[in-house]
Amino acid sequence: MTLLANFARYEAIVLLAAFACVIVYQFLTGAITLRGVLCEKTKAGVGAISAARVQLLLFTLAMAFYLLSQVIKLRAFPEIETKWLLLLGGSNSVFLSAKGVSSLFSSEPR
Amino acid sequence: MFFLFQTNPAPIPQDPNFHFLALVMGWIVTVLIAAFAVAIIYKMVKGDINLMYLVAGADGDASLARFQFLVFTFVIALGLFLIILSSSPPTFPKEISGGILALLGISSGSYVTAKAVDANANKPPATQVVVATPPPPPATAVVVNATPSEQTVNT
Repeated sequence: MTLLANFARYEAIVLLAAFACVIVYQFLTGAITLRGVLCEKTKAGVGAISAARVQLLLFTLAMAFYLLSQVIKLRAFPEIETKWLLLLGGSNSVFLSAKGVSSLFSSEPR
Repeated sequence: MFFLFQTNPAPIPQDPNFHFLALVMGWIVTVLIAAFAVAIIYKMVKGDINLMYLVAGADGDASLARFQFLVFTFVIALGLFLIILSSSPPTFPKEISGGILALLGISSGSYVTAKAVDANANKPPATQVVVATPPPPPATAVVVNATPSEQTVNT
């Protein structure tokens, strides 16, 4: 039974790492498109870089790294303080508001 | 019905055959999951499973809301795997904190809202229905001082 448990443990680690490697590799090589991820969208195509999108990306990456580091350190899900959740919620609200305003009032919204 | 009201069931005797069966089933499930995962990874590497539009919207450009959803899903799934595998024997965590659920809820809510905004913006303008006015009725023609065969009244 110990052998089976160890096999399942290593199998999960290897397969999850393989999935992550494939996706990260495809992001880096451009096989998964990231075109216009930080840009405004218009009917004419991809527009200029949007500050709302950049701040959302930064907050997302920061929160993801914080969460992963805490899980590695504590070996348990951490208690996330309300202020951090409010910060992320606010960041998302700014992004969605900018998207909605752009969609409503732009001459050529997408 | 009897078992529903039985408060203190009799302990199940340990059967060595059952232990063997559990071991066989465990190996079969483990190997089967590994085979499925290897097949999926092989097809992803080979290109049979196309991941090009993994974070793209309906227009083909990448969507930040989808990207955020993907990042949080991966991080929380990785964390869950790590927590399960770090305990010996591997056990599922007794509780998942509300903060983690709120984090997933924020990212998925943002994704759904962004999708709704996109769908609303891409909606074509409402078609105008033009109702044609009916043609006026023909004028009545009366012919007088004519032979009876020529007297006609047109309506």
